[in-house]
Amino acid sequence: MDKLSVLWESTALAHFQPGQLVMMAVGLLLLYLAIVKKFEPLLLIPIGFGALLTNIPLAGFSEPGGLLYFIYEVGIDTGVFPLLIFMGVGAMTDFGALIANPRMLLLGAAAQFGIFATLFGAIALNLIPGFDFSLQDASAIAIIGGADGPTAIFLASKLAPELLGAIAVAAYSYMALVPIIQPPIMKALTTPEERKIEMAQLRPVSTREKILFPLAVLLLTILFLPSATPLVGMFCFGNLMRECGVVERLSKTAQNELINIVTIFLGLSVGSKLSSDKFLTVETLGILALGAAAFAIGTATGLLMAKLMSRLSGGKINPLIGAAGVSAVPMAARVVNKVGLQANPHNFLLMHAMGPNVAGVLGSAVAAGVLLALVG
Amino acid sequence: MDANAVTSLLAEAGTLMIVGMVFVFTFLTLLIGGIDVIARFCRRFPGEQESLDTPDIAAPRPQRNENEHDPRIIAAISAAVQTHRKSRQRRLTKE
Repeated sequence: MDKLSVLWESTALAHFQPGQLVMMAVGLLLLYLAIVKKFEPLLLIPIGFGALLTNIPLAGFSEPGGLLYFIYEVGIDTGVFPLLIFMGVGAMTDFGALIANPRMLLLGAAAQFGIFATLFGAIALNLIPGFDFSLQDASAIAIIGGADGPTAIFLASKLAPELLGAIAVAAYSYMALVPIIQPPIMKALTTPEERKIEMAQLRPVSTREKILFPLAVLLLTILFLPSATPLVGMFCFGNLMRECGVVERLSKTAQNELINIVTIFLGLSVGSKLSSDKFLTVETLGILALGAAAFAIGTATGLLMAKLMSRLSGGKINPLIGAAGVSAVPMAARVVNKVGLQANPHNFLLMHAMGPNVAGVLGSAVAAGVLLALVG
Repeated sequence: MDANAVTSLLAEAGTLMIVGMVFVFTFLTLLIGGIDVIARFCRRFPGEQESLDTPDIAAPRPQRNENEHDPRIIAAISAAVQTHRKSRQRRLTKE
C-alpha cells in the first residue's frame, strides 16, 4: 500500500493545480489559433508548446535547473534573443520604398502616438482597484502599440520581466489580428474619394543609397539616443549585410537559419512565462485591453497624419498608407493594399505602404529607446 | 493605489507622452534630412557602375514622355508576355 501511494505521488495527476490546467488550456488555445487559424504560427507554436511544458507538475521546466529556465536566462533575461531577431529583421527589410520617399518617416512617427497614449491609459487603469502598474510596467505594456514583437519583448525583459508573458502574447496576437483591427478604423477615418487616390510611381533607389542608409540611421542613433543602439544597431547591422552585397552568406544566415533558430528558443522561453501565478491575474486582462487600444490609436494617428500630408501635398498621397505606420511588417502594408484595391481596383498601394511600414519599425525602436532612457 | 499617487504618475506619463512624441518626430525628421543628403550625394557623385546600370536615377519616371519608351524595354516586355502566355497555355493543356 505504501508503494502505491508513492507511485500515486509521483504522477502528475496528484499534483495538478487548477491554475496549471487553465494555463495548459491557454497553451492549447494558442496551438489551435496557430495551426487552424494560421495566426502567426511561427511564434504561437513555440509559445503555446512552451506554455504546455512549463505547467507540467514535477517536471520543473521553468525552475532553476530546468531547460526553459536556462533558455530564458540565457536568451531573454540578457536581451540577446530579441536583438538577434532584430538583426534578422534588418536583413529581411528593404528600405528602398522609404529612401525613395523619405517623408513617409513622419507617418511612422505619428503612429507611435499609440504607444505613448497607452502609457497614459495604463497609469489611468490604476484608479480601478486591483491594478497596480508602475511607470516601468506601463511603458512595457505601451510598447505593444509599436506592433513589433522583438521590440516589445526586449523592452518588457528590461522594464517589467514579470509581465513579459502577457505582453508578448498580446503583441503577437494583435499583430495576427491586424487584418481585423485595422480596416474598420481605416474606413471610418477616410472618405471613399481619398481611398481612391493613386500615387505616383517611386523613383528607383541606387545600391549606394541603400548601403549608406543604415549607416546614417546608426550615426543618428549614436548621437541622439544611445539607449536605442542595441535595437537599432543590430537592425542596421543586419540591413547593411543585406545591402552591401559582399556577405551574401551572412545575410542569408541572418534572415533564415539564425532567425529561425532564435525564434524557436524565443517562443519557448516566452511560453515558459505563461505560468498560472503570473498570467491568471486581472492585470493580464488590462494588458490585453490596453494592447488593443494601443493598436487602434496608433492606426488612427497614422491615418490622420497621412490625411494631413495628403491635404498639404494637394492630394498626391493616399491617406490609407498612414495605417501602415504601426509597423507589423508586412501585414499592415498588405492590409492597406487590400483596402485600397476595394476602393479602386487599379490602385496598388503595397510599395507605397512599405515606406511607412518600415518607418514604423524604426519609429517603435526609437520610442523604445526613449522609454528605456527615461523610465528604465 | 491612492488617487494622489495616481495623479502624480499620470502627470509623469503625460510628460513622457509629450517628450517622447517630440523626440520621435525630431529624430525621424532629422533622418529625412539625412536621406535627402545621401540622395543628393549619390546624384552628384554617381559611382561608375551605377551610372552605367541606372542612367536615369535623377529623372523621375512619371515625367517621361509616352513615346520616349526605350525600344529594348518594349522588346523585353513583349518577349516576357509571350513566354508567360505560352507557359500558361502549356499548363492549361496539361491540365
